[in-house]
Amino acid sequence: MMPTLLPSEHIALHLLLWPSLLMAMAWLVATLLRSSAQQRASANSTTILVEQINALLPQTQCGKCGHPGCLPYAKAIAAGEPINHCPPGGPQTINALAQLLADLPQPLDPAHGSHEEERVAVIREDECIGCTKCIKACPVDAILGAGKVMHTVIASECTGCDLCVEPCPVDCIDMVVVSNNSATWPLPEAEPHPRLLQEIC
Amino acid sequence: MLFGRRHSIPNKLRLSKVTGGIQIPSRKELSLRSRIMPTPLPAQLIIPLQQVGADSAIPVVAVGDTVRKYALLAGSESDAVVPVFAPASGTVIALHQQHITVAANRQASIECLVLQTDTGGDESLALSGHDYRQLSPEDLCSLLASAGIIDTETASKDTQSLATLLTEARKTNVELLVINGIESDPYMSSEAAIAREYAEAVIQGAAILQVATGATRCAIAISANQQESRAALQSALSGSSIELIAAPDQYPAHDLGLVIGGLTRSTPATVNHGVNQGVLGLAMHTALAASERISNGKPCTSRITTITGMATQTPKNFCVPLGTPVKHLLALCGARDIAATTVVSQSALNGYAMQSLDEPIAQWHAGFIASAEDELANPQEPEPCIQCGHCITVCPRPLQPNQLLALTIKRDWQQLQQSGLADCIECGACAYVCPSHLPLLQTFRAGREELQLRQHGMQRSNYWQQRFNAHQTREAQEKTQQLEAQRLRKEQANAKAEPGFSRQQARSEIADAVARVKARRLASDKAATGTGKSGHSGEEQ
Ligand code: SF4
Ligand code: SF4
Ligand code: SF4
Repeated sequence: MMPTLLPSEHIALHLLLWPSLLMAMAWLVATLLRSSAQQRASANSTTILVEQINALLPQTQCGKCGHPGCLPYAKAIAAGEPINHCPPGGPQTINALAQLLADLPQPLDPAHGSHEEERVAVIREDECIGCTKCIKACPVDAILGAGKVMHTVIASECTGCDLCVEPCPVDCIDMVVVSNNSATWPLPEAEPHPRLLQEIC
Repeated sequence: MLFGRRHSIPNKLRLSKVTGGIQIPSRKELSLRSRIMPTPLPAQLIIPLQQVGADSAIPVVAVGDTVRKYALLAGSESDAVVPVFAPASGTVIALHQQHITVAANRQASIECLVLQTDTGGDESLALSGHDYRQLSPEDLCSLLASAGIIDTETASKDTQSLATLLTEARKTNVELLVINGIESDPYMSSEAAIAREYAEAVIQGAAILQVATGATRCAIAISANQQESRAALQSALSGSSIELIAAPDQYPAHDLGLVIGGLTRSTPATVNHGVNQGVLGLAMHTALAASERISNGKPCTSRITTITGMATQTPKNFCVPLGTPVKHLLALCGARDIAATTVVSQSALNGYAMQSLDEPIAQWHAGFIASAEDELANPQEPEPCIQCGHCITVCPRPLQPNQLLALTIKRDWQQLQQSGLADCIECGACAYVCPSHLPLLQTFRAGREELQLRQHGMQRSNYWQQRFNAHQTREAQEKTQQLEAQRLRKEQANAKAEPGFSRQQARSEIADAVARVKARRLASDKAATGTGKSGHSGEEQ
């Protein structure tokens, strides 16, 4: 049986109950709002992250990472795939990605290939039969030609992805190392004067 | 551009001291004591064919050919490639790749042509000049563009072909043309010597370039402390609309960015070789070469170069046929024991020690210092930065060299970009004053190169990304087009039959017709059996 309440107890009950009820409701509304905002923000920050990752990838579009192009791999990294699957980027890209994602730099995964010098595709033009197979394979439309006439690679457009080499039925495409013959000034060693760094920073 | 004047170039042109900068005692007197000397021809000239940019000029002569002085040796259809002319008559004895130091202080393997000079007289092509006042700006431009002239910013930070600069100037409606004859390096005196001895030609060249670029005003800038050169220019200028500007005696007053900033009284962010804020700056050498080209018809095959330093006995300025080996000139100056001396190219403050004295002199070589022991500061073991701030005080740009050094060593490229490493003009003032002998300039050079490479890589990968996106869009489009075409073909096949006409209907109609014929035949057969069979069979035949 309910105990009868004195008028003073009644008032006290009201005073206690209502504010707490109101506060609970306010808290509920706030949490709901916050979580939806968070969801939206996280969707937003994922796209930004994907963009940042994509900017660090070499854009060779070779597919060696197992994705059809660099952007899909950027999305996969954002979703948690390891950062060491891009051979054209090599250690430099891996280090930059590690820095961005506060991850540990790791060696390139050999399952995806090895990091090589920069190359471009060159067609041995007298051997080309004009089959157009390489044109279809090129991800950046760097090959010029038409059915049954000689094809050629526009060197300045070629990313060096080597996707055109495999489809060629007469094997007339070579990947040639881009020669960079100008010697530049050497950067000082990372820490030539350990004392100096300490003093500066 | 649409509304006429865009830039505010003051009516009175003057250059005041830049913030920062240093005072260095001049040693120009060494080489200014004698007049400009013609160079006795060396036995061989080595002529680099790739002078500006990434492309080589294509040789039009072969090994074994004999050529006359001023004959075209190599050329190209592109404006960006500078043609090369024979600085002397002789025989082409080789065309090969050779390692030489190019304009941006880099070593590179470059296609070179080796010319064995004639021992007898120097046989030259017959050339004829024009009066520039009778030529249109277009004619002047095409004559100048085909003369093989390279414009080199003083102290050779950057080189450009005159042809590209002229095109840019005409496109951008340049207001002021500055002939930059300021030399703030303590040793180099080639510009001062040119102004002193060829004042008339320089002024004529300036006038020609003014017409060719379409600039409304033209000025010649020269260091204030070069009294003789100033006086020579002043007297040659009487009656001309070209102005004379005296630059303060301060290092690095020669820098084009600082000159343009001073003249327009603003701080140009980063100055490119070309038109900035309505001002085009060209070297005094370019003006001299332009006047030679137009008035005498001569292409650019020589330049004035300073050979100086305490290790030479008779330092002086030479008029050098391009391709002359450095050691040939050093020998002419009586340099003692050249194998053991350090020869510094370009500048005492931001030049570099030559690796080989067989290197040929090119249009960007302002001069060489054969230094005696202790004449120039020897590299010393660097010590920790003591945060004295001297480098910040002397830096002519708003930079903090000590911080830039720390950032470059850390390879923090993003921060470096924000801190303005790209704005460093590589003047070397900071390294000159640093009490800890820190290799500030050398570090910045390396860092700036790396930064440029990175930017280039960025641009390239952005471009590839665009191409890839375009490729995908095109593929998607082709796919939809294919589907569309298939659909259309089907529809057309259907539409060939007239509307409301189906096969079913056609078949039934044919069946009807056959039935009708059969019925008629049956009827006529019946009639024939009545009247006689022959009538029907005759009808049938
Ligand atoms: S391996 Fe690297 S370059 Fe090749 S598609 Fe993948 S991310 Fe792009
Ligand atoms: S930081 Fe660059 S611009 Fe400044 S003083 Fe040093 S070299 Fe010159
Ligand atoms: S001048 Fe040298 S020691 Fe002084 S702050 Fe600059 S880098 Fe440091």
